[in-house]
Amino acid sequence: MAKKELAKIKLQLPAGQANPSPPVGPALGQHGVNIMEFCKAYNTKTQDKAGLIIPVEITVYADRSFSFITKTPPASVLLLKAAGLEKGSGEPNTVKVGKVTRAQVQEIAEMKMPDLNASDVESAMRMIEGTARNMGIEVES
Amino acid sequence: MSGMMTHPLIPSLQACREGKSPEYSGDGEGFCARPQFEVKEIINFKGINMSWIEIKLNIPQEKIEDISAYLFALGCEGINLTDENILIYFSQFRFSHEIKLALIDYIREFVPSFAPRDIQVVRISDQDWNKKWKEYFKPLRISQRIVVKPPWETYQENTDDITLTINPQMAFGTGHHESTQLMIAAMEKWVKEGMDILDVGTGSGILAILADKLGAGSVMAFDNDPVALKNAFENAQLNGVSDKVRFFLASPEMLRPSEYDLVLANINRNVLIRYAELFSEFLKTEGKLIISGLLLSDEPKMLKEYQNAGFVLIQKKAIKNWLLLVLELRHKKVANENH
Repeated sequence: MAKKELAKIKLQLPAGQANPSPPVGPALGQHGVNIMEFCKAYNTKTQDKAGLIIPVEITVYADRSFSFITKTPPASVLLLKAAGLEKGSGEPNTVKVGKVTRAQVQEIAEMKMPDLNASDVESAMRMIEGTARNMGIEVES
Repeated sequence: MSGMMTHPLIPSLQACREGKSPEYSGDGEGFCARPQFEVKEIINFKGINMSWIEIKLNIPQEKIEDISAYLFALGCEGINLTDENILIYFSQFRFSHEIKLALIDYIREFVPSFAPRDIQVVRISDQDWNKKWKEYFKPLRISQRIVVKPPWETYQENTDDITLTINPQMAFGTGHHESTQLMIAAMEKWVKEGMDILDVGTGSGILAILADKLGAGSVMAFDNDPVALKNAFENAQLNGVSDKVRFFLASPEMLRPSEYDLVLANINRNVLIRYAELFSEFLKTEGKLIISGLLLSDEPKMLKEYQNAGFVLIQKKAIKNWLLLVLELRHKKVANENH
């Protein structure tokens, strides 16, 4: 019989760097999850993704055990990495800070397909391009 | 590794064996001057009263895809996407009014209707977030004779039982995690009476305390996290071993080359790879190293690194996806003779 689910928690954390302070502490602590165990499990699972932000969805069960799945990094994080930037433009409408190629956009769209609300890669690419424009990153055609 | 840095605040193994007091200020073999970082000294240090900035954003959840990179570039520690809103966290030292204004401007690029009423800033103080979990911490039998329990629970001990009393706080090691259970089982096999044992990244102190209870001659444990170390020392007190197990605030680079019989390290792959060579300097030839916090898929890379550092594999064990390796030092490099 499936275990009774008590709560679902959605966090975004730097890979390999979960620690018991916020957001992990308060988010998990209020549901009675052993915080240190979650940190160890998350950090081990994301140890190859250093430098990326890895979203995680945690399911807490009635007996206070938990399971989790990791998701693909946010589009904005992948775009920064592809453009080789530390951060996007503070005024993206007027100041362009970097470029990505169409091929890079396609790569990001394909990677993010499982987590995006898109019917096909083409529409996923349009979403990624929209994010890029808003961040001050140009897409080369 | 030649010219390894040693730290003047950490006592040598010889000093630990002889139980020299922290006040001892000799040079050479023994303490160097002023070992004030021994945990007994920092135990009353209250530390900085850390607090956190929680920012509530009232924006559609899917917008986080667009602004996440900017938030982390500003120094955000993490994001919680709740059903009602988006919570983002900064340490008190990384947040300012300017950051708030920059954030509002940036979000407006993505959510034109975003207004100052859609952002709320609250200060929250650091606390023991694990408090609620403690209600679910019951005595847990880890092996035929080892039981872990919190201080407020009692249970009927069998005559051969070794009971570890652990007050769960913000440090890893309550006995519930597979890697801790693997370490405990391996220690039952490999710890022998009178051994000199070093516990790297002691966390709650659970393994160091067990090492003493299994008959170690001396136990030295360290961690780079003062919060963990304070918990470790309190746990040692709860188990009546605080005068025998020595705890230090340190990282591995601070230790002298030494001659331990056994080194314990339940950490993670990246850290264990970084210190493979250094660990060989802490052990005597044929000394054992027990490592965990690894996944099954980490094995080939670990073995390669540790073979290069002079170790051979003598045992491996797994629970679910978690792996433990026991390695023996066959060839101790003698690059530090000048120390």
